[in-house]
Amino acid sequence: MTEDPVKLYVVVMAILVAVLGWVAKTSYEQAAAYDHAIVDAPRQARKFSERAERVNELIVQLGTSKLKGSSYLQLVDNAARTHLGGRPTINPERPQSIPPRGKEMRWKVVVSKGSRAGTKPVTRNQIARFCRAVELDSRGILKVIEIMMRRDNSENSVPVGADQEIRNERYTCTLVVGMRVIDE
Amino acid sequence: MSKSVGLEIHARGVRAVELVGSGKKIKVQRYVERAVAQRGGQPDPEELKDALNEIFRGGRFAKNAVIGCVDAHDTVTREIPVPFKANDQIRKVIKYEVEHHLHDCDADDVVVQYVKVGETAEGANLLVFAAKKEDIRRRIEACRSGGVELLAIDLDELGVLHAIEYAGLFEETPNCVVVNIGQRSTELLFVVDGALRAVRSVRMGIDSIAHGLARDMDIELTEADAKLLEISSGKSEGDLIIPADGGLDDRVDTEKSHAELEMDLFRQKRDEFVARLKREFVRSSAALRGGGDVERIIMTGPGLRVPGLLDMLSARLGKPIEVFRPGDHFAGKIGSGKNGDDENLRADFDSSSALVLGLALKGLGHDSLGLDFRQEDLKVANKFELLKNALAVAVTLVFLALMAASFLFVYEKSTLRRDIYARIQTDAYKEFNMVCDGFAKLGDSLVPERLRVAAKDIEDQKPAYETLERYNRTLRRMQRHLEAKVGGQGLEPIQSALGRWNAIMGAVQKHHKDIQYIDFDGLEVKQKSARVSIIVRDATAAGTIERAISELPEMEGLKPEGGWSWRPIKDSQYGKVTMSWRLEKKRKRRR
Repeated sequence: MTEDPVKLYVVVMAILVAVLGWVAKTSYEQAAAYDHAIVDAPRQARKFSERAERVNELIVQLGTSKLKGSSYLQLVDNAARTHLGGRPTINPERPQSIPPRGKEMRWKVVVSKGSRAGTKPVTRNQIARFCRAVELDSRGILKVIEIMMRRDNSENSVPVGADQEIRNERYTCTLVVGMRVIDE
Repeated sequence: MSKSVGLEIHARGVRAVELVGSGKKIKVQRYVERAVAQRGGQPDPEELKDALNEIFRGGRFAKNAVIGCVDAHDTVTREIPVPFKANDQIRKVIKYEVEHHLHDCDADDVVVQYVKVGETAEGANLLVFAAKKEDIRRRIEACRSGGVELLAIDLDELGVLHAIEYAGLFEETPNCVVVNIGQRSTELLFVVDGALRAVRSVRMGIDSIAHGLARDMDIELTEADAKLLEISSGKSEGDLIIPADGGLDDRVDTEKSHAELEMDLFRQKRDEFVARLKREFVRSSAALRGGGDVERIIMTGPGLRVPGLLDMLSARLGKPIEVFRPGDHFAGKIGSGKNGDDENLRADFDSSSALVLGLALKGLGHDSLGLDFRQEDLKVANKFELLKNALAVAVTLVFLALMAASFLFVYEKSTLRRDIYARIQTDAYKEFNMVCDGFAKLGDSLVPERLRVAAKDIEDQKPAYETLERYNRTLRRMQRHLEAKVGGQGLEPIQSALGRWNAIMGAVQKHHKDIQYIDFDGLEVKQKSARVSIIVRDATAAGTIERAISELPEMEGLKPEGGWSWRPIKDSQYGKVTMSWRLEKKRKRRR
């Protein structure tokens, strides 16, 4: 006689309990997410600060370098003109891939002699000044990665005595300036 | 396992049976019969209460599944036609239809139930039962006084029908008449094609024989009852036989004559009872319209215990008679004693338990008619009914409270997170603005326009939990972009050749005084190799220079490659030496 109402009640109760269970589960998950966020808050803040600091450093590094625009070539060219004299040949090379997502860019600066070269052999001091200028002006972004110099044979080599400094001979040279960048 | 109790309260006592099981596997768990003194033709209320208490507390009968009954002879039973066939329509009008047949009460004072016994082109023929609410209420109250709440109430005569139907007698004999001879009334139930067709309740039971004896013998009814009981138990009838031996004294002879007189009187009353029952049977059979021929009469009820009644009915009614003995159809233990059955109770069960068995069967779902006289304001008000509203409210309130608690809990967490992040965001907002200012000062070619716009968009936003994540994302993009510009964070750093070049120059400069003469012919410094070509006086000087260069910290990892030789320069006292170093290759491990 009372089976139907009892069944109805059982069904209604089951539905209520199911809904309550779902609400409890959702609430628990939500609360767990909030708890995690609360516990994680100091780490997030520290991470954010570190990142902001790093970005600031990079901004300073880039801002104080003499890089103008994206012309690394221009910086190399300026340094070469200033320190190597004349108009040295500057050849950008094809970038080399550095796995997984980097690449190496190179510019080859050739100082040779001859009427078509636009330059004349340089001393070791000139080479050193050029190298320092490139690295300092770019705030270490650019590096002189290869220095290949050969004495200009057109000049006679005179032996240097033990009491004398090494003579500042002139050399033809090939200098390779390079940098590694993330391939964006 | 399902349990159900059938409970009959009659003028002389209480009878109850408890059935267990389901389907066709139902057995008798308990059966009990308790005598109760009468008061005004009804059982004494106090004794009835005690009897019920004894049965339902001591007898371990289930109290929560009790089906009761009301007397059929107090019920108006009529066959009426109605112009509808659908039960919904019939239910709406049945009470007003039956009102014409009620003489001493209103339609509102009765509970009306019906059975559809036939259909015509215009409507349906109904067998209608109208029981007074007062009678039903009195029965309910009587049971409540004994601590029993009746789940449903049926008519006593229909209880008998349920029991016989369950026993399968209607399948064997679909056209028959069930005659239940009770204490105060006798019911005739006409069954056609296995379904109830008509009912006739005659206010004439075995009590009427006792009444006749009391009246004619001028004795008290209780005394007449006792005599009838004696006769029914079979003791007196044997004693009444006059022995052939004539050597009895006068006193014995007088006693025998008196006993014979009593027996004659009993026989006379029994004959009258049979004659009247026959008349009712014939009349009712004739009134049964469209009924099939009665194949058999099924007899049951306490009246079967009256000696000779069955034989007389068999002879007078002219139809084959089958006695319905519940003991043949229901297995189980009769009696609650340790020894199981007792003889008297077994006899009572066989003759008088059909009604209570039928009621209990109704509780187990064996009820083809589906009548229940607990209707309207008499509906069952059990604990569940009483508690259901409160329970519903309580459950809903608990549900709402828990829901609210859940939401509050989450809201508090959310607020806490918002507060904590609000503090973080204020600082983050300032830092981010500073970064953006510096970022904006970089040349256009150093910062792509899309990143500049993204940074500007974020900068304009107010601090919020979600914006911190956006700050982070934008900052990460800015960092990646700038690191790409300055040489790439995470890439193996590119080595400057300048340091090694300077070191080699310095080493040579340092030793040139010891070796008298030195001059650079050529010098190559690369990432993985170095080659020095010098002009020196002799091989010893060249060796000194080679060692000096090899020992430089800047030459770490580079190993001298091959041998070198001092070759004299033509027309000169000096010679040229070329020496090389190369990055040592890491040997692969052999597996």
